[in-house]
Amino acid sequence: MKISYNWVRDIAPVDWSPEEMAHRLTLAGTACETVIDLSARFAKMVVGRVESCVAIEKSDHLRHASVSIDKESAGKETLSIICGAPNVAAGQLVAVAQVGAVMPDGMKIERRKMFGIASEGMILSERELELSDEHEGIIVLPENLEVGAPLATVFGVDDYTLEFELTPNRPDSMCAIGIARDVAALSGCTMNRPEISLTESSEKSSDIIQVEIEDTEFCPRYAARVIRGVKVGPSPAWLRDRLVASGQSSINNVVDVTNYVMLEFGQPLHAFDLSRFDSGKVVVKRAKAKEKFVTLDEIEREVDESVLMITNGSDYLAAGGVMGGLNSSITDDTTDVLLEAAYFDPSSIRKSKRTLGLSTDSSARFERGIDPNITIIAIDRAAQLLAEVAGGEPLAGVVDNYPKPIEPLLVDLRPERCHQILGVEVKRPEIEKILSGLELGIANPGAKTEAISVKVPTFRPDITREIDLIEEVTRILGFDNIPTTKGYLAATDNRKTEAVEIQDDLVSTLWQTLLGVGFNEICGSGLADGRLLELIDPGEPQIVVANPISDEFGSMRNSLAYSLLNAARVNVTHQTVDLQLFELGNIYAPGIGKKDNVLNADHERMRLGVLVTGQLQPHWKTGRDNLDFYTLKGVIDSLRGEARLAELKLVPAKYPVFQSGQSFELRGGVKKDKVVGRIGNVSSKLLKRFDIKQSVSLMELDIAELSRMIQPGRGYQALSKFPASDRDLSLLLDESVLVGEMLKGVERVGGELVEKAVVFDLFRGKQVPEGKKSVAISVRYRSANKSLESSEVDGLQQKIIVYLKQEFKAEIREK
Amino acid sequence: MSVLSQIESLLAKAGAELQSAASADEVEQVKVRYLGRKGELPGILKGVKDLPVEERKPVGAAANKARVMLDGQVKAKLESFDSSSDADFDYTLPGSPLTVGRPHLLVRTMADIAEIFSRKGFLVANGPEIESDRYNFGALNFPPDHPARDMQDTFYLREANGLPEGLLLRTHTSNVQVRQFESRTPPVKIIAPGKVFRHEAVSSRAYCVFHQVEGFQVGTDITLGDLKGVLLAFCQEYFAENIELRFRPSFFPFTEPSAEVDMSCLLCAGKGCSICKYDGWLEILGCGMIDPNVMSAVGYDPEVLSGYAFGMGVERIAMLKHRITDIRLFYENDLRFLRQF
Repeated sequence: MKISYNWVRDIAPVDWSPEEMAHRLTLAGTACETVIDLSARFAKMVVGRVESCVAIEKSDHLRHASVSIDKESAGKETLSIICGAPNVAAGQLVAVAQVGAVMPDGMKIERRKMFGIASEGMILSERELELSDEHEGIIVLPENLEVGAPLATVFGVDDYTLEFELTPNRPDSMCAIGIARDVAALSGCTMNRPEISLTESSEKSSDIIQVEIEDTEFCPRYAARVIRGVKVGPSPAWLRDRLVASGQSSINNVVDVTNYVMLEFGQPLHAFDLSRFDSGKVVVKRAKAKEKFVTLDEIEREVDESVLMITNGSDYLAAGGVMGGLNSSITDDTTDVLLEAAYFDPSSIRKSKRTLGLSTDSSARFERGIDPNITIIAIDRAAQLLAEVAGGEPLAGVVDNYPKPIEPLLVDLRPERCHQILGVEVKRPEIEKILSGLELGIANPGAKTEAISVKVPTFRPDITREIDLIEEVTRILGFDNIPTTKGYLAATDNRKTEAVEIQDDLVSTLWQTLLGVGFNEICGSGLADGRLLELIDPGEPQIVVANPISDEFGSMRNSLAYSLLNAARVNVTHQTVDLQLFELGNIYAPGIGKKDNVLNADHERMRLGVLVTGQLQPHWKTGRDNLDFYTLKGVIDSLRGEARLAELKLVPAKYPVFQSGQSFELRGGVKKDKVVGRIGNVSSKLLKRFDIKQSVSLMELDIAELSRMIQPGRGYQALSKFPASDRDLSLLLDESVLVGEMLKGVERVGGELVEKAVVFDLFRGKQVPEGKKSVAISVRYRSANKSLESSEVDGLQQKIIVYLKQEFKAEIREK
Repeated sequence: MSVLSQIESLLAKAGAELQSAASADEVEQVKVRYLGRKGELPGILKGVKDLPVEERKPVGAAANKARVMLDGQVKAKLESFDSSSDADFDYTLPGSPLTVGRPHLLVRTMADIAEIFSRKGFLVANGPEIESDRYNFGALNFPPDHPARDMQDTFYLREANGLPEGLLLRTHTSNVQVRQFESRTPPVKIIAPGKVFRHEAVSSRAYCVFHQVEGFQVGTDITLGDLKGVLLAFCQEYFAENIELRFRPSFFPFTEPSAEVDMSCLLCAGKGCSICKYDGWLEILGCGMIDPNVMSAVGYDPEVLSGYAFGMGVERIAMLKHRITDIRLFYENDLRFLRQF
């Protein structure tokens, strides 16, 4: 909301600058974010006196004027200005733009030289100032002005616009008087309210019009007045200036008056052409479904029962509280006016405004709750102004239909409660002073021990409870005046449940481990493109946003694959092609979290997603190494080791996200049969869809499931004091042999003396027959209680060789 | 020749050979020749057992001394070869790429914030992102159909695919207040970081998803002074010791009194610069005393208990701290961005 600074100061006379006013109000919760200097367009423009004016010989029309622009130096120090206007003459007071002034069209006044004469400014015409189209000559100002006075003071816009960002709980501050009230409370000044006096004719409004309200819940009050003999025309300058400074454009004197009073008192008013009420009555009633109504802005709108119509009994003339109708608006031919001042129920107005798809200055005030008891003052004020600026004659009296008057509320405030909330004692007299300053009445002044009984006027619908009054005390007192204390150090004994504790620890371990092995964390938004989700996991249920901002954000992601693939796409597009990414975050689908309610919300599950593609950074020692499926298997090993997770088994499974044959479930849990995740190489179809032209491997793991796979610590294991013996074996195997299975077999057959069996080389090619692979393994033997004899190790090694030959048809290659 | 003099001449011979050895290999050969299992010195020692008892001791000692001496000479000679191979040691070759991953800036920022509050005894908790009207609005004193709801444009979820009706994406982390209050007995001190959603057009200044950190404390004597205290302590610890705070009264349905909090500008310390738009202050969070209606909604007695709550935008804080000018960068996950932090 915008309000003129001068207007506020007329009501609350303080000597604060606009900036200070804005600052003080902001720190009291009436947020004034911007101050606009309306005189800025007249910057470096002043009143000047033409001391002399002579024609320039070499020019046919230009003249050289000497203009004084300083009261002190009048007649002594002057500006030299070259001017083309025919009407410049010595002795005139003129409008002068000095060097540095910027004209409304953006032209900057600069020092110039013509015919050897310096020109140090410009004498202005009305058109140059965009005051009118007059450009035949310069403006000649009245004699009574002071030389050197800023031009802004002459043209009446020596004002500032205060722009407020008001919170929805403060409808009282949506007008000049409301803002002034806060200024008065903060400064202690006395408010000057406008004096309302009007001369009414002998004819009565009630002779012309009656008001019927069919729905008093929507419209608890409706008041009307009739003004006759109005001459519609432009508003006088003072009215125009006030409106413009308050962000309203001037339309005509009648409409301007209704806007003026709204901005002054916060009561929206509407002016109808009286001729539309030849029925002699205003009927306020709800519209019916699917009816049409053309509003003032010439748009036909569909209305229904949620919209309250102002009618003459048959025709709809306005959508009450929101906007008037085109059919009853004030025109240049209007002579008699029906003024409306009503009080509409806030939540009904909200519904109505939504149906109409319209938000107006009027609806903004009604929906927050205006003062139901300002009605008569506002309508009388408007009648007074219409008489003043449009020559209207108000008929006697107001037709006021207000069946159930809304009374001020009594709310108790205990000073000790205020102390308890703020942490500092505010003395009773100070509280009373603050409240009185805000025009909140004290019903029991001077009472010593009982609560302060506060009579809350109806312009403050937000104050209904003690805490609301404490808030008023706080904001006027200022938060800055409340001392800082350290009650936040008080200890509590709040705990997590064991399951949550375990999961939190797991998440932290996974996070640290992944960072440690070189993975970068990403953060997906959670909102996702449902079409892509469907490509990743066809047929999997999605959670769909009912009012999305776009298709791109139309669903909730039901996999982390979505976010990881998107991140991969972004990076690959920017030629960052070697990626190790992970995310620890929620996925969403109907009901997926229900069975783990302690760890997950109903429709969410926390997942770990990991993606690799490209290569590890190449190095002169190690060469190039792909980031692929086996990198992910390595990640699983690291995570299992760090988080003490039980074994995870890969079981072939069909996931459309993966290449078939390179797609696996990760199974674990007590019986090792629970699906806890998936791993695989992303299908080429999907990669194409994500514009990725390189292979990508990806896995996802469920955190709650993993947290149940954490194994208890085994306690301390004694360290063997005895040396280990390593034996290498080079094998020729069929391609069909699964090396991982074979290694497990070696460890099993070797028994407890085999500490570990690893693969350290694998190759196919020239020296290897078709359909075969060459695999080199190393077996480490160690005993916990003795040095192993080499014969003993050789025996075990032989046993393993026999096993490999029998079980895997392995040929032993000689080195 | 006595055994002792044999040892002596052996030492001299070995010394000379070592002297003339031209490579580490040759040194190794000398070592094997004299000190190896079948070498000359062990050979001499083998004979010791045949000597008269009274000679054994001095011979043993001399042999041992010779072994230690030769060992030392071998080592010294080998080291001299090591240093002579400096020529092919290029210390400028890049080291092995032991790359460590980076946490996402938002996650790290939340962790840093939570860490400071943890030190002050706050428990870290989470809450649902898919929420009901009651937890996101109703129990937080947003009356149905109130203009306050317009302050937070909400994504609603379609009743489809088995999702029940009436769910929405939480617009703030304040839902954690209600959920924690329902399951705990005061005193309560909690910090709750998390993701929130607003129906907003995406631009460099706004995104439809962001993160908040909610904090709240309820007890028998919790005051507005304590709220100011905890926020000042946090900001001084997180941003800088000399930070000052300014409280502007504001309105949130779930707190009363409410305030928005500005922090003196990090860059210009309040003098005015481009970061603070020449204001000297940066808006960083919203806060207030928990509204009695919120207490009543969860069965706490507002006559006995009081408390404060605050909420801060994680993106905003990260953007201020690292002077990031486009919020969308957080969700693009471009490593060139992510790895700067």
